[in-house]
Amino acid sequence: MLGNTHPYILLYASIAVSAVILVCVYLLSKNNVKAGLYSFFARNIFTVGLIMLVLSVLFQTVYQINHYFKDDLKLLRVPLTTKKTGIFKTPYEFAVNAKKTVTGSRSAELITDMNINRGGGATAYHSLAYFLYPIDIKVRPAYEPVDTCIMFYKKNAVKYVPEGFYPVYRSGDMGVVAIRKEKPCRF
Amino acid sequence: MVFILGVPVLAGAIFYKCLFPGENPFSPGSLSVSFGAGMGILGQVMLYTGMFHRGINILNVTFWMGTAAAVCLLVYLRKCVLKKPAAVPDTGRTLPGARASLAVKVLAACATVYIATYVFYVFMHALTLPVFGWDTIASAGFKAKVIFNERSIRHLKYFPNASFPLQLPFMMAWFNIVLGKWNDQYVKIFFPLVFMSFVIVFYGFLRKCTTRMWALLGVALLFSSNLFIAHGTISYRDLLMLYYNVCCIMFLLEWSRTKDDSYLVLTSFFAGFGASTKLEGYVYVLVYILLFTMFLAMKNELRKGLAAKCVKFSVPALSMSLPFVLYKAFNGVMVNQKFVIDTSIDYLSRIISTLLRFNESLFLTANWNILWFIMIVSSLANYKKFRADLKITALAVSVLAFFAIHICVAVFTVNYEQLLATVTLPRVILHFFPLSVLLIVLLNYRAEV
Repeated sequence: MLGNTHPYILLYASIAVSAVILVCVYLLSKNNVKAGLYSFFARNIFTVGLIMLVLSVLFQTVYQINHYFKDDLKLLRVPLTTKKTGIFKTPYEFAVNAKKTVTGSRSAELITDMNINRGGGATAYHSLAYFLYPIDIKVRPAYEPVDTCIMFYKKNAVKYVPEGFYPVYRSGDMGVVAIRKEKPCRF
Repeated sequence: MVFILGVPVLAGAIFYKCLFPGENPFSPGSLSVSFGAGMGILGQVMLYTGMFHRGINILNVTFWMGTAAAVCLLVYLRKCVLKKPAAVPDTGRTLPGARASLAVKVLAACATVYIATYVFYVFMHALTLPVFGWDTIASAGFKAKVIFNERSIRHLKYFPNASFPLQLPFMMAWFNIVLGKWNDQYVKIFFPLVFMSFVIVFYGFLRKCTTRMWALLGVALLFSSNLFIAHGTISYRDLLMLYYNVCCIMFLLEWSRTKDDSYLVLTSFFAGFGASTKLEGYVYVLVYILLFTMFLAMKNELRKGLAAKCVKFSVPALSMSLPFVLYKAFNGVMVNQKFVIDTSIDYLSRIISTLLRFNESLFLTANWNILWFIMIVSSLANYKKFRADLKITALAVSVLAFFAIHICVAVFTVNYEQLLATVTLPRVILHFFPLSVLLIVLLNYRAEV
């Protein structure tokens, strides 16, 4: 029945129930109920809240320690590139391979079918831009003529290589790096 | 690593010594403030180097850092040698607790183990994974890469989120410039260090107001927030903003207690560094002005030399934050893209949804545990203390002011949807969240425990 209830609502509810019980105990044990009821109530709510906090902190800490020994400790010996591949997947792999083929600082245009403004497309776009750098698909094209074309997640990518460019790296059907003909790259 | 951290920390330590000649600059508390100050100075030096189109490289940055440190040293020498030695400010006052019972000792030991566990976790987790947060990859980290590669900010107007301050990109770029190549993993060292520095400053502040036991409990309460711990391990600007922002409030409270104007100058510098970290930093200055005015109004002895105090409080902050604003304006970059007034909607219709969203974020997420709830209950249980203790009143006023700022931003600006997004709202609350813990501790503090 409580399966779908928000855990923090349960927490506050249990604090409220404890408070009601405390007030009942107070009312039963005192003759002059008005005197000190407010401060008794507030203090005890505070104490119950603190106990709940300590309990949740205990669970939290056990979870964190468990997580650390289960996952983090294993990652200590994993090479950085493997970790990055695991986190960023295709954009990272594509960027690393592209940079093996095309070196140096470049002004590049991205041609893609992804929606780079929202959701997964945006994440992939920013990861790609970050790892491709100094092949710059974000800043440099705004003030310098494009000398490189990056086709990433573009169906039949080779078809879309603009005139005057030729492909130098291909990653399946969806990824191509092309450079301008008059600017030979060092590879 | 020694050079990467050593240069800014040394500059920060000299700056700190210049403000507080009587203090040991190598005590943990001083070093923690020096670290933040040093990083702030580093950011400013890199900004000026970039603005004047000098190459942002080791030589230039170290030279200007050295010059800044030399100026501080001269001020220090003028204070200590040419004039009479300055009186040692009352900054190390600590309240003695009653003789601790066994239960209190056990509690203190548990809190220490708990705190140590999390500090270890934060350092290990931060340095195990490379940068991966959205903001770092999309904005701060990318800008740092551009600065690292071009050694300039010439093309600032084409940067993603060009109006955002550059403190974090500068820090990341500095790390990699000194290293000589880009490293995505160890560049995160700044974040656990900022985390640790903040915790030490926070503990030091509580230790001056309460006993060791209560200060430890305060830090333990702080650590019960999942989001605070998480931000020690990721590479977002919010932790740095929290550090500068909450330090400003604590320094202002210290100023009102000790009447030592050095705290006022430090607040002003940190306000400037905060404004160089996030756009919110500019608006948070309003809260510092509010507290400053409140202290002046409520304490007659603080009003002596008012004009000098106003200069000390305003000039450093303005000189830290205005140049970048002007640089942006002259380079065709919007000065503050987050605070554009939205004229297209009915503001009142937004208020309820904004308040509901704040309510959800404060009380129904695991980010803060139940700390906000405990703060409210503590306030109700100890409401008489608000009148009795100016510190508590000032803290409550600042918490309310921070909420008011963000509610107003949500209701009146185009930033409405973005601010109330699931991931954004907790991040802005994080900037002032430790004030809730300060309030809990100070409201419940009993000298006999």
